[in-house]
Amino acid sequence: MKILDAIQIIESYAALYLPQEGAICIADLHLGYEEALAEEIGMTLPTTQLNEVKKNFDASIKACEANHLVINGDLRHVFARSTPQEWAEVPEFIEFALQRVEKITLVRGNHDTMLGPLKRFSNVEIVEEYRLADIAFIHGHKDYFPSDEKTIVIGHEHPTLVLGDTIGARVKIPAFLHGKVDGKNMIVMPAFSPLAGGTEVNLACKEDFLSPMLRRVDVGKMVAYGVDPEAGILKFPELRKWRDVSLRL
Amino acid sequence: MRSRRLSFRARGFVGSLEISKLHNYLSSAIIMAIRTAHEYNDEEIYERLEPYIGEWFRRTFGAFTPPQRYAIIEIMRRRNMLVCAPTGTGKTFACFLGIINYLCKLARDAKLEDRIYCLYISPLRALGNDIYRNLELPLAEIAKIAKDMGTEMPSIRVATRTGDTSPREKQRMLYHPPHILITTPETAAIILNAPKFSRHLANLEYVIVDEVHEVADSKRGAHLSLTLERLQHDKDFARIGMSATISPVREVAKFLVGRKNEKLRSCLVADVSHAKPFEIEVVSPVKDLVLMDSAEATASMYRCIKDLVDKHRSTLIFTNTRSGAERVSYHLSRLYAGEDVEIGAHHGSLSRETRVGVEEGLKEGRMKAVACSSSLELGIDIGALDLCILVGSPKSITRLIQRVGRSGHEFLAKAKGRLIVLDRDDLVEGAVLARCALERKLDDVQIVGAALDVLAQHIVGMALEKKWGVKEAYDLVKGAYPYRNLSEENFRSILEYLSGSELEGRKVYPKIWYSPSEGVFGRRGRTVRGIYMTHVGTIPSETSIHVYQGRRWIGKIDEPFLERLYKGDVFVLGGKTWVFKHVKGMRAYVEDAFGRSPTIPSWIGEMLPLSFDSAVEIGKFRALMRRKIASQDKIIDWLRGEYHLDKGAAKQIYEYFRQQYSYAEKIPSHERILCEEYFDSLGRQNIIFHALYGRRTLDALSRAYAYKIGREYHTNVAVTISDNGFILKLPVRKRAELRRVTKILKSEEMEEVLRKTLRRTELLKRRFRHCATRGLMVLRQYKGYEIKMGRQQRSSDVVLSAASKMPNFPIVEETHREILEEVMDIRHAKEVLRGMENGKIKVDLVEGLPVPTPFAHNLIALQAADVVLMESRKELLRELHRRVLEYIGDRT
Repeated sequence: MKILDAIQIIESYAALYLPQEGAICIADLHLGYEEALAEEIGMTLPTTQLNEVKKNFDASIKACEANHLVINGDLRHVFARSTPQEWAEVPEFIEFALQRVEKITLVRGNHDTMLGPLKRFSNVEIVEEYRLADIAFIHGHKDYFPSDEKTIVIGHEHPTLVLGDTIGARVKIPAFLHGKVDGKNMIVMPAFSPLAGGTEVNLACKEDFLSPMLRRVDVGKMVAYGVDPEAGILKFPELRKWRDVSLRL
Repeated sequence: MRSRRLSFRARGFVGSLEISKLHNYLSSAIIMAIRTAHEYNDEEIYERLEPYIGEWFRRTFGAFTPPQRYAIIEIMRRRNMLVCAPTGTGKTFACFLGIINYLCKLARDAKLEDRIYCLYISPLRALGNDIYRNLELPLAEIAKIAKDMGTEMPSIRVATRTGDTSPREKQRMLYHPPHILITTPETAAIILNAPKFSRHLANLEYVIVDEVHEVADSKRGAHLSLTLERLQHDKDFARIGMSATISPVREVAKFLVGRKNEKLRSCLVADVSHAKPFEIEVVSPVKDLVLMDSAEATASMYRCIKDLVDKHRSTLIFTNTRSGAERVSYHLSRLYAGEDVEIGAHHGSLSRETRVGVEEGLKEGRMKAVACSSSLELGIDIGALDLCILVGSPKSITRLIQRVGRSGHEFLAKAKGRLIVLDRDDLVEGAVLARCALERKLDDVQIVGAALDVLAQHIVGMALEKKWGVKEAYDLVKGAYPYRNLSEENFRSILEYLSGSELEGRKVYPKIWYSPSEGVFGRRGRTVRGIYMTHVGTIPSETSIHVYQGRRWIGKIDEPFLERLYKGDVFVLGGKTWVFKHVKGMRAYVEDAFGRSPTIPSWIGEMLPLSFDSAVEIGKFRALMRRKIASQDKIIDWLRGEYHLDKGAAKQIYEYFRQQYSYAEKIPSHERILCEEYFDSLGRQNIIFHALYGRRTLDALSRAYAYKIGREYHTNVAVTISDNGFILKLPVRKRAELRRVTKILKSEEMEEVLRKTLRRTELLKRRFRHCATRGLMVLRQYKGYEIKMGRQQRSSDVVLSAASKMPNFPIVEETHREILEEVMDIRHAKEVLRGMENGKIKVDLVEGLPVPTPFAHNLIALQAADVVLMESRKELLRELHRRVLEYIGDRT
């Protein structure tokens, strides 16, 4: 489904396709989350994330014709230091991706520190922000003031919608947000990671947002594209028009 | 206004023990390993005692009590034994006198070694302290008498070891081990793994488990049973169990002793619970429980309580909740204002100092009355109470007997109970339970099942001890009664989970080393010992949930309450009402309810469920009433006679049933389920099942029905349950056909259906956290730091969503088992469904009545809702999405 002329959502995955540039964009993979948790709090968690991420990426790339992957931040997940898991998982994913695309651009997110293992890949570049045609890709953990680009794409927030009905049923769905900031188009991407939690954007107040950009923007005026593997893409009108009845549908 | 006393009085004293009855029952038992014990007489006991001990006993007590007559000699003979006796019947010396005698003999012959001969395990720390005091003094007195008689001997050492024991004490114990060690189930497991201290247990000869009934039906019991098997793996000792009134005694005996090499160990059983006579009266504080204004009824109830308290020396008042205990003690104190009388409260939310203070006060006879929750049900010595009042039905026959039995503590004093009822269902329940209690028709205890999280914990403990062969360990585990049917597959899956070997070849934080090909497992890593020692036990750490309105902090609620709280519920906090929105981690978010009445009572997390057996007894009473009303018998006289009710109570019960019968002509019972529908003020269809089986069984049935209806009619269904029935509510514009509804659920699909309804619920998430912590998957502390509860819960949520994707992940399986078997009662739910399928249980329908039948009124008033989601997330999402668009007026 198209969000803008140049940007589409790929089937119902948390992935964007830019047909004119032949690029595919995903964000917030948080590889290594399980082991980071084990390191920090001694928790045992089976490592399921990488497989699912690979599967979803594979399906996404097959559904479009991209040969350039843009990872919009937080490829890895870290607390204190690099852990053995994502020393294995990150390169594994990159290798997997490079079998399907020719070039990878990683926009550095707040978790993307100590990227030593990626140095050996010649067609992987690491940048602080990325510009492709008139679209700017930034992670979103720092504030950003646009210059001459027409569209800004951020990650970091992991937006989710929460819906509920009159007898108390409740369900959550990750979603793309689309609105305007400083006169430019802005798209907020949901997390590609199946495990990472998120911000419940239709219930949150300003202070709840992680990204400084979203704290100064009127999120209520943004529309949402919920993505669910079974239900597909569900487009929701501007949040401010319906968020009051989010839990009383 | 004097409260009308509606009462019945009867005595339940069964002279001397009916051994022949018991004998016949047990003789017909298939397993002969469990046998009735023999009652010895006083002379036979005295002649086996050391002279100074005999002398001491003669001077102090004179005659032996029934439990002592059964137990002392058998224990001297090193036999496994279970003694069921009420409190105040000399259980301490029934266990210990034989052992003390044996130790004194050794001491006399200079053969007493520096090791632990006897391990006494009590689930209650305070009880352990009591026992310690109750042994110290006699041992000193015995030593003195021995000395007077010319026998000098080394002293027999008794010590207590629990989580509270100081390091200094522990050090001392290491070098001077006690002969008798008093401990808790958790500490017993810990010392098994203490490398130096555990050596003192190498020649253990006796293990006493007190308050067996307290642990037999919970994970704590599963944990303890494995500890005992591990202890007994390389040595042999006698197991002695003490229990309060419980049924079936034979099952509890099997639980106590376990198996060796697939064979049940032998056990002698002495059921002395008849030894204590008791008297119960059911009291209604007002003439008409329905018509009385509730404020007046409440005031009347407190006056009634005061009346009773005035007439007795020291009274214990049981309520079913902590807030109830507070309210009763508050109002009673007010009524006694100005008088020199001490009234106290005792429950789990009070500080330890406060509780101990109240316990001391009771022991010293200073307290006129104490109001408590179920906190004082257990056997701590609480002095000379001469009356127990129960406010509201205790929900099971066994609990009724246990509570009433707290009074009349001196041996042969009669236990006295008054049950004050609060509404008509309570009155019927009270009358039936009291009668069953007097007939000793106890409800059955359900021995805990094979808890996999507890097993995982113990396997880590075992791995720390030494290297094990898989078969050797599996045989040991199967010796524990709850694990007798554990499959080898399940056992191995736990080994795999703990060693991480199934996780795609990478070992994420394994706790043991395991080689499937060699069939051995053992310890791994250096941090595991520390983790294990700090996580031993089964009691989940629960904490308060902070309630917020936006960013404003409102107050706290506890986890059991949160488990029962659903979106849209209105509840009271800090004097205002709030609507519950959602929960994130350990924070609950609410909005102002603008004075709307609460839909959920604050004590709902603490509600005791009516036991299945008690519910069936009440159901049988209803069937009896139905037959009598139909044949127009003289019911009031019959009620008065059979249930010893006076005219007022009998009349109230009769009226209640007559109204139901006249209105609907159908009275639900244990073999007749009544299904009616009515449409509420918003036009929503409410389907009411009158199925009297207790809330645990109904929890399972109601969710399953809701799920099936949801699937068939493409809708969400809200659920309200009580002990007597449940309501299924559909949203506006949805309608289910009653006839179809009653046939929609099959007994074989229960497990599958319930698993589906539990997905994404708070209940599942929270219980998963408890199991994950017990199974050492999510930790409470790590590397010396406490992990905040919010973090633990969020971590658990993440783990749960990942683990659910793996088939048969042990901790997920265990969570489901715990919920289905311990929170709900799937076994009886299936039984009910099978009864409906084979016609033993009939289903009557009531359609087209303008208002609900009288029996439904209490249920409707409850209104606490739970929601069973549409099965398909896809459908639900699309439906809700559609409604958003509709709301806005778009037609996309």
